[in-house]
Amino acid sequence: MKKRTALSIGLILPSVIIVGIFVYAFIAWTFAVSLTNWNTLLPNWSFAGLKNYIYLFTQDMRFHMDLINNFIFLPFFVLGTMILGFFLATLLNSGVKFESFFRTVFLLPMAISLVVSGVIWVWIYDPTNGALASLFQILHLPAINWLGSMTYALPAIIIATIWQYTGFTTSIYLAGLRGIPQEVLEAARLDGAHGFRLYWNIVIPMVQSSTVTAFVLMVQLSLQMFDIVWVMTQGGPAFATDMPAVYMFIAGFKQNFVARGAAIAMIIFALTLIVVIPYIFTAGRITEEEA
Amino acid sequence: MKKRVILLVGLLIGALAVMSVAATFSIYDWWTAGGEKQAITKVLDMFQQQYPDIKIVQNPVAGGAGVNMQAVIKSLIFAGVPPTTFQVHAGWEMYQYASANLLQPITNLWQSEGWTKVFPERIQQLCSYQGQFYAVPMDVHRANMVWYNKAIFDKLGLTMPTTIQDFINMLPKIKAAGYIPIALGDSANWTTAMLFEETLLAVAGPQKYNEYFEGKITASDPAVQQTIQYFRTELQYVNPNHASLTWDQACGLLVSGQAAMTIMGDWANGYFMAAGWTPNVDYGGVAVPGTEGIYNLVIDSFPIPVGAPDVQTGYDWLKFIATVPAQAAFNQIKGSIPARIDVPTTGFNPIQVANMEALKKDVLTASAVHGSEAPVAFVTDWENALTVIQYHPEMSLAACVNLLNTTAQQDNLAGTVAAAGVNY
Repeated sequence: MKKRTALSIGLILPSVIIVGIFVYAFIAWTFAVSLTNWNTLLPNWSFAGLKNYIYLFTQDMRFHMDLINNFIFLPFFVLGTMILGFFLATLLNSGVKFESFFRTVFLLPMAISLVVSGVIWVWIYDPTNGALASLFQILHLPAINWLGSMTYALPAIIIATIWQYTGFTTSIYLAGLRGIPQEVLEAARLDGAHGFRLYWNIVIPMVQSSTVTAFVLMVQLSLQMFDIVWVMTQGGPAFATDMPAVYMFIAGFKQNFVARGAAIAMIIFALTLIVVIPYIFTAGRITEEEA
Repeated sequence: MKKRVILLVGLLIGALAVMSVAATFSIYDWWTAGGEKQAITKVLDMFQQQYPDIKIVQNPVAGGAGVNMQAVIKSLIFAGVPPTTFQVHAGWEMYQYASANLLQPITNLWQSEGWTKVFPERIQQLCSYQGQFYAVPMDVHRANMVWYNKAIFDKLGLTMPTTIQDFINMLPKIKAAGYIPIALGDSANWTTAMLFEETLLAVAGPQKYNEYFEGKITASDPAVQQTIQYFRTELQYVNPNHASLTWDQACGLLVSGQAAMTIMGDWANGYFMAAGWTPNVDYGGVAVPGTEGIYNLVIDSFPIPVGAPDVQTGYDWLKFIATVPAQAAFNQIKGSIPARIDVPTTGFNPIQVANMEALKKDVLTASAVHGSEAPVAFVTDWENALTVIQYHPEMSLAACVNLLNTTAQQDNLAGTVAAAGVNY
């Protein structure tokens, strides 16, 4: 028994150390930086208290817009990827012909780099030569200047990111659907549950853990959204698509507002914790129940 | 068997020894687009021929007008592994490193090589900080240029005006003829800021232009207010898909005959040449109306960071890029002009030749958008403020002035410039 404990500690220790340094120590470091006056290129460790946070919340117009954009982005992105993902997973699971082909088709966007798909979407949205513009012309719809409009730029980015990440939620749901024992479904059918009722009362509750996982991952992704925004609009036009993570990068690396960038990072981290902490507790509970 | 092992080990040690003898020259740049990529490749080839023993490691970092590369450089410097040299805009973008003592002073090199005699004084100022030289200029770009499609101008019977007011008056005529008056590609917003910057230079003149970026006058000044109004008018005459395009795609609108003009630095010259256009036949490029006699500088330069490895290769590089052949070869391809004023004009296109003459006699100012004229933190926020003005045509003039002034105050423009004690 003692030997086994020693072995397991030996096996776990390396990853504990690596995670400890590269995750937790760096979070602590970032938090420490966010409390300083390090808004210069060279480190300045003089203590500033909550000055950077207060500036962001009370004076910084850009940060206010970033939070608003992020809170508009989040529900559309999370619900969009989850509903579409569940729908596609259900179709794939229904014994459709060429299932593996379609599975690849839907999962492929996830394998494309966000930078590459960002470039492709910029072309799709181009109001004079883009694919969408041609489609709108055929349908006799008015041309929309997607990325150049204060109104449409954020929805355009939401659509692009939903396209990118739906494959991810599809795979999560597909795994969940495959995990439902056939006997349960057959029993439900014998009891007269069909179609919508079958899904509402049996299937959806049974993929609850997939739902929770997808939800947490998608919320966390949307709070940290950077790549595709950076490639498609760099936060423009006039902050219409700016996100906290974009501002964090610019503040920290371009403007040398290192402490302000760290403060933004900590705010993103805190917002993420709001969804992750309940997840850790529910995930624990679900596993216990299943056990 | 034993002999073989000894032989192999010997070979391995020999190979390692050879590898470690070759000094490594590692360079970071953001020249990845057409024209500029060929230019840096050409110069690195020439450098390699002259110093065959040096192992060159080029690290191009694309995107974000250098922002992405700066993020990499700052990380490397703080990790204690700086490269031998890296591309940086002379002026404030370079000052941020120099003021933090992250660059090696190279004043001795400047004096021993006699560079103070061949580079214009303003360029020397931008390459130095508080009395010490820190960088060597590779090229000089001119920001205040307007490029025009000659066929469209001939067809409409237009000539390029000499005042900014006439330029503004000309825009509706071009639009009425069915052409895009000003091609703009502001998927990255520095191009919009250039439109403002060059208009400000035309309206306010070089002295007030400097004072504005020093924080000595604010946006409440009548000249800046007039600039805001012209800027908003110009924005009404740009292509509708401007937000989807990059600066070079906007230049493409001239080549395809859809747009009459674009306001862009002379890297556009490199683009038009690469597109197969003949200067002064297919296209013209002159100073933005109202800025004749003013040269708004954008300078790519190279410093040596403190702690640079194989530092001698860095000095070799700086000496090399300052030579007449290197400056000629690089700039002929890139569309810019040599920073040296004694490079023969042979091999340059007529627009470059005109600019080479202008550099000798013009008043020299520096571009804020390209990190030379004002602190980097301020410029970023200022560019964003201009985008807010761009996308809110309903904003009153007073609100625009207020926004620009708030930006300057929040970033403490006047205080930062005064504290740095740099020359304008």
